[in-house]
Amino acid sequence: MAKKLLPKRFESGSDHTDSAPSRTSDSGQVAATTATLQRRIGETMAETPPKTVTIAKRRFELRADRVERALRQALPEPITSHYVVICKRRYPPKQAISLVTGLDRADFTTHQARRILTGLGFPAGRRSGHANPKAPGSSRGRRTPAVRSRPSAETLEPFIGQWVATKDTDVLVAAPDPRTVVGWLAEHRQQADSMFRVPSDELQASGAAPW
Amino acid sequence: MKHSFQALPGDTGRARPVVDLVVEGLELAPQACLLDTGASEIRMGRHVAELAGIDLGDAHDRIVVAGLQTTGHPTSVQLELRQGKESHTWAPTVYFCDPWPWAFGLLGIGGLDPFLVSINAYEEWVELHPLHR
Repeated sequence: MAKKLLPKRFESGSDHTDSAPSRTSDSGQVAATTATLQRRIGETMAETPPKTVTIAKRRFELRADRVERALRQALPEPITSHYVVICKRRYPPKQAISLVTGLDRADFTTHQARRILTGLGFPAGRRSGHANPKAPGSSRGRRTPAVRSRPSAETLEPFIGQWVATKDTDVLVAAPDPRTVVGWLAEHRQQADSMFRVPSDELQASGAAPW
Repeated sequence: MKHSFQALPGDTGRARPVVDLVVEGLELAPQACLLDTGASEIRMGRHVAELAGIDLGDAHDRIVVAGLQTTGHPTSVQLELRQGKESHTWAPTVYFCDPWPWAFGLLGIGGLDPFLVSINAYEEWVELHPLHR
């Protein structure tokens, strides 16, 4: 019996791996901290113990669950380099600390903000350069035009049911409605490659009639 | 212009042939459209017209998409397909539909008139080559 032909990315040895344990689409590496090894990215924290930090000569008692609560309604700003993952979304560390403490962003550094947030157990990472635009099939040596790359299923997973704007392999912004997405793009002078709603089922994905 | 299929999370099966269209110059948010050779026209949600400030006028048709009855407003708009420095612009009729519960717009066969289309399902890419510049 003939073997069923699967799309190339499902074959072993493929250079396009959706099932990789980390977010392979990110341009940078996710820094593993002791705390992050104990939980998956995006899990919501339960009641957490407070941690006392000093920022700009002021003392704050920060708790991870309160950081999550403070950022729940805030759309992340564009990531230029460093980011932390809070509530399944990537925030610039300075934006997160500024929202939580009310401090001006000039009062602390990105590294200080990142250190505080990773100390609370949030995964952090750093983007570097642009995503590799290599096509899934370009490793065969055949001369092919560059293929526009897209985010993997794993990258989109946290945004099921939401509208997203994507660029290369990254999600720039996700929101419950398309107007908010476009408003964010305009406000932050970002240009997306693609905008769509991440479907939650086959019906939304392809318009297949229910049976 | 060659585009990777869009992989989807969860129980949505395999990756889909999707291309991104700039609608009426709304460059900051190209709209993802599913390549649907089984559909006759180009259909998008009404929200796309609202985002791009397109006046839909009074004309409308009752149409059925995937078993769902919806109201489509046929409107001639400028669409642009881009990749890097390559670009192709044309002005087809797009049906802006309400309700539109689907994740993507539909680029039906009527929207593919200006292109030679190649689909490689194995390597998961689609290429649209403009026939006339």
